[in-house]
Amino acid sequence: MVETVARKRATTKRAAKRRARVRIRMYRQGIGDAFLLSFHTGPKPTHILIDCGVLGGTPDSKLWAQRIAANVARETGGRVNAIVGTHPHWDHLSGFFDARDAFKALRVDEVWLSWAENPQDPEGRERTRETELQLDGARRAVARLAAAPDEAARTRAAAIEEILSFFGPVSAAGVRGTAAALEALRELVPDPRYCEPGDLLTPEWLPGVRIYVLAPPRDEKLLGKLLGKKGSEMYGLGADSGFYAALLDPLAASKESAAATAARVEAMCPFEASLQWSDERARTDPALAPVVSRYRAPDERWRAIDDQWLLAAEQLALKLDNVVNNLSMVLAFEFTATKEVLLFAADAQIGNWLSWQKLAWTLTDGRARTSVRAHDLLARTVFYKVGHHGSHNATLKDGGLEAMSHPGLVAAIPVDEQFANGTKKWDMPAESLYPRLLEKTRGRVLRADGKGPTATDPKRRPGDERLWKAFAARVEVDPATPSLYVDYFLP
Amino acid sequence: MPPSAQRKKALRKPHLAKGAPRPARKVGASAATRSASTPTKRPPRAVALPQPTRRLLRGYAFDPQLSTELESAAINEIVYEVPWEPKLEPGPRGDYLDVIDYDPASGSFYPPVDLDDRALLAQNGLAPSEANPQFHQQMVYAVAMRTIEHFEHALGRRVLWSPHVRGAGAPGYVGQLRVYPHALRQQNAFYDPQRKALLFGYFPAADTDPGRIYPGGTVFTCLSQDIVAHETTHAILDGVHPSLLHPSNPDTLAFHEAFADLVALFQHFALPGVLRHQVARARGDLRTRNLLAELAVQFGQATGRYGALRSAIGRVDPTTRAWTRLEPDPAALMRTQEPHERGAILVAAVFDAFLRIYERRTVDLVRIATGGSGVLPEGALHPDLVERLADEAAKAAGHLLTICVRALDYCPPVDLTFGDYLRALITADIQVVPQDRLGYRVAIVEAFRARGIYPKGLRSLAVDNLVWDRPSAEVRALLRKRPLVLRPYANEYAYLDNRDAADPRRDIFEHLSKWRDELYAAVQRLLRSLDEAQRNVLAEDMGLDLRPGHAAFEVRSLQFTRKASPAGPGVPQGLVSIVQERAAPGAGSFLFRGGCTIVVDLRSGDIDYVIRKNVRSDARLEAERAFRVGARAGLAGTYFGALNETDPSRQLAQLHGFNPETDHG
Repeated sequence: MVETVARKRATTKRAAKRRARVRIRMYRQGIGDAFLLSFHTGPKPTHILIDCGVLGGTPDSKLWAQRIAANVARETGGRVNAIVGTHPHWDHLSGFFDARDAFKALRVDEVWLSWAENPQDPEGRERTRETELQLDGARRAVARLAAAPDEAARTRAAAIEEILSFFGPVSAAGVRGTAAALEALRELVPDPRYCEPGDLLTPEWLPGVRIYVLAPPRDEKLLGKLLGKKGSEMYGLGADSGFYAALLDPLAASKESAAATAARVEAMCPFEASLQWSDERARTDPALAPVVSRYRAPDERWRAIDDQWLLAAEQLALKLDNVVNNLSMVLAFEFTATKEVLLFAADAQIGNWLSWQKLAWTLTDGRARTSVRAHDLLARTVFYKVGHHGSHNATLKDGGLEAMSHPGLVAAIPVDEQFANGTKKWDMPAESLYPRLLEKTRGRVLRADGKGPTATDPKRRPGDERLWKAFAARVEVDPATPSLYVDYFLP
Repeated sequence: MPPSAQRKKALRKPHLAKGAPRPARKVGASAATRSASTPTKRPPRAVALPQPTRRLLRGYAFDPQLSTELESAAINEIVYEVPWEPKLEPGPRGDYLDVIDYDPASGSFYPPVDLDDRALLAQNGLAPSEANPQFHQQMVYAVAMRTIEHFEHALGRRVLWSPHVRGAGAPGYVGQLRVYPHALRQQNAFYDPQRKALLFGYFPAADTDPGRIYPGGTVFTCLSQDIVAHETTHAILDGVHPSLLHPSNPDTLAFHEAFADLVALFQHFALPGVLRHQVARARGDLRTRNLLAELAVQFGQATGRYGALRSAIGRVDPTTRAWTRLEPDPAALMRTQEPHERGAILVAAVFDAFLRIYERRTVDLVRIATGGSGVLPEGALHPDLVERLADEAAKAAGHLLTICVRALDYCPPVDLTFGDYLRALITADIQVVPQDRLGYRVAIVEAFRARGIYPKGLRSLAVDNLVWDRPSAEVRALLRKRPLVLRPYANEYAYLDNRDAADPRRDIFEHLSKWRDELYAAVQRLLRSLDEAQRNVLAEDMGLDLRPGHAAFEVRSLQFTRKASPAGPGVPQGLVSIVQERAAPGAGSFLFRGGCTIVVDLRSGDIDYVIRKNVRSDARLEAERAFRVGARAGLAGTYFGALNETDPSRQLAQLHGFNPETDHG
């Protein structure tokens, strides 16, 4: 009896696989995105790889990158039609650096990136430069905080560093990880394609599928709102701020001359030099000595503020993370026959989601013209790659998740809850989002950490045993140890 | 010398006029000591000079930017009057504040200002200047002292800073709040509850509005009266209600923000020159755009926000830059969880109540001035009318500020909501002014209701319904037999408060701490003397769990107050708050708190009010759980939420900083 059930289950699974128009493979490296889409809509299977990254600090992160690259090579027979790099964060791109030889050995036809990564794009270049400088400031502040005598400051520094880990490690030559990974990805093809919001991609090699580019937005005003106005120093922590100047060391000037750095440091001091008194000078001055000894008194150490100004790096790190997440390229894959949609939201934050609402595409089919808007795509979404590992601010509620009304909706979260909560102290997946996600999908949530609902999970919505069975038949988990991936077959 | 002898000598001092705000005593005391050792040879004494009571210090009424605009320049440079501190060291460092001008980012100390320097005494301190750090020290000192004085006046007792908690040891007394005028290089200023310090930042102005702001010029947050008053208020509030920095619902942090804004706003009305100027300009109608209702104008403009940082009555559209008045929206409170936005709603409500009261107070003046029509003619108002209108505005603002401060004594010890605060406001006012001839309380309720601020679970919003509950008859009977005896403490407190000691605030702090322990023992004795049924009745009234095996509780605070009013010297009251905590099990476990504030009439020993938050309430516990989940929402919550729960010291700093949800779409 048991055997028959097992056999029957295996048969339905085989049938599901056979009928599948696409197999979506989510790799299970932990926090980090890597999705291999294998389409069976044409005479030959075609493959798109969306991101390949492992968050810094994940055990065996390099090994994971190599495992994924090897698996991609095997599954695709060494030929990938397109690789998508959604945004320059380490947990999305590290693999292109850590497994660069494996990727070089592949035949990659196309690389798709957003306009923001185009070195020829003035806006994108400006944003990248600003990000680099702010990142430099944040890193310098963290380095100083990490050496602070105050333990609370060091704890804060560690928390800030965790956020900065999204930008990858910095090499000895000072090149940050994501820049190197992005470069490695670009070099896989002679001419990457830089996508604009509103683009509609219909590659010849992918019949029966339309790809909508939803983001990152282009609109100057909106970007200003999302990322901070260009040139102006939002929050006073950018490249031209006093905060940054105070972190520079005139003696170890890098990109500008020592004199220029010294001038910049001097210009940002609030008062003229004659009013400034260093510790040593102040200690010997009769008027200042009592103030200095009050401030430096051993039993008053708890009130000292030497490192407090550096904690502005908290805001800087948040802002940087937000900016790059908001520059996420968001793609919607639509099957022309069924109109069903696969939505890959990368790490788009709320502002990015809101920007799609303004987009419209006009499709011409013979004489008929139809207009498609973002909410149409959301309403037809059957597979949602959850934004930013299930954090609260990366899934728009009203007009986002709530608009995903298709009864067959399935969600996939590339997250490792234990690692996020325990090691990083991050709220992922968010307690404020996850329960609703379970409701909307009727429990059909795939998680990289395998902690999603299972057949025996009482939290799964009761009364839909049939739905659940149909879903389970479409899912296959890599039985190996460690389990490398989970597959979803969409018929 | 034994204390009694000292007291007798002190009585002989001729210059101590009653009611003078704590004049210098050092001179008198040392003279007494001298004469005691050589009783026969008393040196010939010149006429005793009266000690000064006020110190006059020049400063900006708003911030440096308004001095660069012709319209406001004339009123912006004013003279602040602050209490005279006889022992003011260079810093300035006095009894309440210790200004230390260390700028770590520049690696520099700035020389301290000596306000007792003859040259400065003779000319009301330094002239306002952005380029002179010593003026900055003078400005923060003046504004912070003024804020402290307003509080002491309204609260009827001395301001004590929240104690320094050192691991498991007894909380330590903090005499002076540290003030660092140049602590940060960023667009921020905050109160650090761990360091008991105010940290002010400075930053280059944005170039978005070069017409008004000198692009790249440095903006100093310590030169803004609004920002200094706001941050000082955070510190004072933390001393009165430390639990507010442990947010348990969306209103707690929002209340901190709103309250700090209200104090900064109402202090504008205590500057007569500014007030007359603005009343004249607004032609008496304070609902139109005016400087009195705006906060941190320069800060707002320098960060590219065009208008002031916040305004109590209107908003500047970021694209058209047109100012529009804000209409109350009863649903707004439901829509937002963000502390600034929620706080702004409370500020608007209180300010609206102020405007209603002001209008009511002036309607007769306008009628008289217009021959009964009530319609003012075109053109400038008569200076006498301006004077009288300004008087009324100052009075109304002073009253409102006082009511707001006094209400702090009638708040529950934990889990404060805006609705609770409304009840506290009404309770506070009804005791001071039993006959509400000018309709203050109705104005307050109306303004709150228009913004959807209600207490939960009341049958109606009638004023008498909003007053906190009296204890039940059983409990009253029970406590009449076994009263909580507070009067001896109150008497000693009054003595400590008035005697001539080196550091009266430290004495008070230390005694209160001792008395809290005694009171705890008294409550324990009381409980032991009750049978189970009686204990249950008491527990219900006090919001505590006193069943066998219950969690420990503590006497969190003890205060004595007497709130003077136009009607008389006021009722002396003792305020006791008792807090109990229990573990909230389940997902995201936390310590859930409840308890009560007991208001005791010291004359009769009866309990006037019991303001409780039941520790046994599961509904409240679940609400707090949901709030804690929500607090981790957003990018900052995702990354720092867990850390902030163990180390809340950065909450206020982050509150003023970058917030992707509200700042960036």
